[in-house]
Amino acid sequence: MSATTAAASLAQGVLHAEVRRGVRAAAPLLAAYLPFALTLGATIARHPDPLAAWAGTLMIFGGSAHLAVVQLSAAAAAAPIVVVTGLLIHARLAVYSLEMAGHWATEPVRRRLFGAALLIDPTWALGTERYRAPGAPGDKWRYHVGASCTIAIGWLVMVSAGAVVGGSLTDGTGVALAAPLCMVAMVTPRITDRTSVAAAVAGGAVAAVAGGLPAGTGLLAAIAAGTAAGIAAGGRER
Amino acid sequence: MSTWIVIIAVGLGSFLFRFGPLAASTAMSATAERAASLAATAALAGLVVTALSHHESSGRPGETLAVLVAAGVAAVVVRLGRPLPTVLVAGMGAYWILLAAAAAM
Repeated sequence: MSATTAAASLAQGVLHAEVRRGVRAAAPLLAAYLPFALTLGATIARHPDPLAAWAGTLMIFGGSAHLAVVQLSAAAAAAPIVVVTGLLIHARLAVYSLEMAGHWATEPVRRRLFGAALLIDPTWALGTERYRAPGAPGDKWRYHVGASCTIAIGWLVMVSAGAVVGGSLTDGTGVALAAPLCMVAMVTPRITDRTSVAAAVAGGAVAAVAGGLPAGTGLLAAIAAGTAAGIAAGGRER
Repeated sequence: MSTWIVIIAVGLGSFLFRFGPLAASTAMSATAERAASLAATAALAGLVVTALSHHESSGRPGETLAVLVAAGVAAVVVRLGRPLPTVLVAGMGAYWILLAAAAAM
């Protein structure tokens, strides 16, 4: 047996099947986010302090907030404005965390800290999809770890690559559409009844109208409207 | 220095958003769980609409229709139970086919 084969066998034995499932589930999402990551990396490379800007890749761990912070700080916007803008864009993370709280209620604090640190749109979507499916809690946690680590490591590599090669590789090809299509793939399975239809329709409609509002406030309004619509639809059902 | 301060501040604040509800809640009522789930659905729907509307246009004719059809095709393929790579291939394929058709007209 060659050294490479032995190493591969060892790795396969160490990595739990659910971890591998999470990795496989996250891989296509990473590919879909590649254009955005390259664009963000190119923006970081043009920043007056590229190392500080790059440090946000894992510290902020959110493409839209990170891009806004990098662009605003490069334009010499006042620090409080930059910080508030980034935090408003990331306010939706509290909603994700609130939903995951029910799944992680019995997990030890260190696991909740780890899960929280890597909570962002794709990791949350993959995680909730797995937690809604049948299975042992331990398996679901392993799946989430595999998916989250894949997204985090892949994101770091892709953004860093973008800082080196720039975003010109994807200009004019339309491949950036892949990221929104991933979001379509995540939201569609959640629309299963009258209340979820109401939440999705109201959320999407408000986002379409209020999308021009600054600093992610349009998305916050969409979340509020969608939640209210879903609750109201549930009330009318009874 | 100010860039570092901003990055660290946004990073810490983001982590508080991520961990705060997890730390505060050991169990949620069924109503709160349902509300959180609806909020999450609304958030995803809002993200979809925002991302599709902000999709960087190539400036080619038929772009808007192609984007909408691509999203519709992706949703149908998901409903058929196909995996994500198939969804992306179908959606992007529909997008490029429509753009090519619009350009040929």
